[in-house]
Amino acid sequence: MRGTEGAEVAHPKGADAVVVRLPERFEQFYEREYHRVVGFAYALAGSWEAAEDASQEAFLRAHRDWGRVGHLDQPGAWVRRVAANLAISAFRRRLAEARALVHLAARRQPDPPLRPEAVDFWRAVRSLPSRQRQAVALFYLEDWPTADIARFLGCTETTVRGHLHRGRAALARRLGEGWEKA
Amino acid sequence: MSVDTGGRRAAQALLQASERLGPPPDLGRLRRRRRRRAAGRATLAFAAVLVAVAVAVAGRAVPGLDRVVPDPAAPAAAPPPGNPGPDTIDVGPADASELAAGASGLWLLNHHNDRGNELVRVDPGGLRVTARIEIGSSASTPAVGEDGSLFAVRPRNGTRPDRPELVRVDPATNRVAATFVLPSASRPYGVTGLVATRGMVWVAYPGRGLVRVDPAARTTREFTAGGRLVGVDRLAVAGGRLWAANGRELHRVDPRDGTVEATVGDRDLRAAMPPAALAGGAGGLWVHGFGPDGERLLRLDPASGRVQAVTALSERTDGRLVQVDLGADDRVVAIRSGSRLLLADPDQGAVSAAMPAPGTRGAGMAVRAGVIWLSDPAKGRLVRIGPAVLGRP
Repeated sequence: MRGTEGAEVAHPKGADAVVVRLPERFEQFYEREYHRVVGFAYALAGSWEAAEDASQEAFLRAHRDWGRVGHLDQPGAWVRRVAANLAISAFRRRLAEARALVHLAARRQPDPPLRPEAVDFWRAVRSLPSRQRQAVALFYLEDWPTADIARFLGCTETTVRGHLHRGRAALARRLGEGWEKA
Repeated sequence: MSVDTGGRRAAQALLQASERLGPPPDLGRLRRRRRRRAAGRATLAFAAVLVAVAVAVAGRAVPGLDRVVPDPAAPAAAPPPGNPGPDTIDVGPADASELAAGASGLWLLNHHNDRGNELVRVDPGGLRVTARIEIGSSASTPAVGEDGSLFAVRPRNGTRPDRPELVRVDPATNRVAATFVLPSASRPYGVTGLVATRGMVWVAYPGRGLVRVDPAARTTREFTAGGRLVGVDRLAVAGGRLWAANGRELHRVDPRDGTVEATVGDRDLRAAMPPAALAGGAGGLWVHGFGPDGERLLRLDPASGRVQAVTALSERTDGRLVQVDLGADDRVVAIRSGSRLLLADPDQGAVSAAMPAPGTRGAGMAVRAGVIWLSDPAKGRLVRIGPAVLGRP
């Protein structure tokens, strides 16, 4: 009978210990991460349709290549990176929204309600430059430490801290009265 | 309110809203939708190309569900030119494949991402394909019953893996002879284990107990054993008993009434849980798992559940990203780990030989009558490793 999952077995040279890492099953990963990735994509795209579209595409790509992606240190980061790339593509967003308009009547359910202050916050986040936007979204939504965000963005932690600092300052300005930089 | 406080509240609200979108969509449906969209875009951009494709598609016979397509041109004992050896059968490329062997010969289930899956029946003696059967989209997990029937599971209406059905293919006609509705799964993912023994078929899938189908009486029953059989994902038959493993425990189940007779509590076994694969054969139950020292093979006495041998495998495998297959019959115990095929001594479990294995990801393995069969879906071939090869040191 087949084992549907693989495992990574690393043999460090000269080391006595053998490090074994069992990759998660894709189904578990998908179920656990799906809504978080959609939320992240929404934060970047500002449209549920585009967010679902980008997330689903990202998960499909991960599923297609799970033998490799599943063994990455952070498969979740990989999926978010793909979803982010797709979600912030203006062309793709317009395409998804056009599809949404065409199929509006056929939609299973309306967009989920989001509190007005949350809508304002994420709209302000989307007005930030691309890398600040991603850093801020990952920081608040995923609660990732700056080291993980740095790996995600492919930059140093210092740069990430700079993105977050400038991003927060810009948000405080854009959100206006009642908001202040922490 | 600070930006940090507002940001965390906005994040919480966003995640809650995202969860209100409903459960994650079924992957199979997503794939089909993507394909339709891709086709639509291609239509707009490459109308001329599409016309040519449409003409080509229209000219091709599309077999209906379950229809048997005879394969008169199938290669007989002599392999087609270009194949690397005399023990290779050309079965057609696929995205992945699974193998099952039994009284009715060898069955290969080819998975295709762009169309329905195909069941390929192979005459292991004549080394030739004897039938190709369209078995429907997403069919998986083939197993051969004692009477030679081929069983597999597929989504009930072709699109909902959470509503599965068991399919029986009659080896006399090579047609789907019966389908059996299985209880709906709590999650939209496929089955994880299927074995046929004593005229019954046992199916495991996420979120349910162990489901037993009696094809003759057309009855279905679910066994949970107080929760111990919920979440089982590996099944094997050894010593006349059914063995079921979940992430933490290995249970011996009486196939007559579905009761858990024993739970193996051995320390070596616990260290190897959850198992990557289980198989019964050569008088033992074989468990492949990952312990603190890497990959390991355990031989258990099916009567007592006692661990008789533990063999470290990591030095003989490629140590890379692996897919593990385990197969056994009366004479041969074979392990495929990534790109390596290992043979284990049927009595002691020690590795007696190692060789490169054809095919890696998405490939299947079966052991029957002292022969190891390996599929290589990327190259569309089935490789036979017989006694002549296995006899070498």
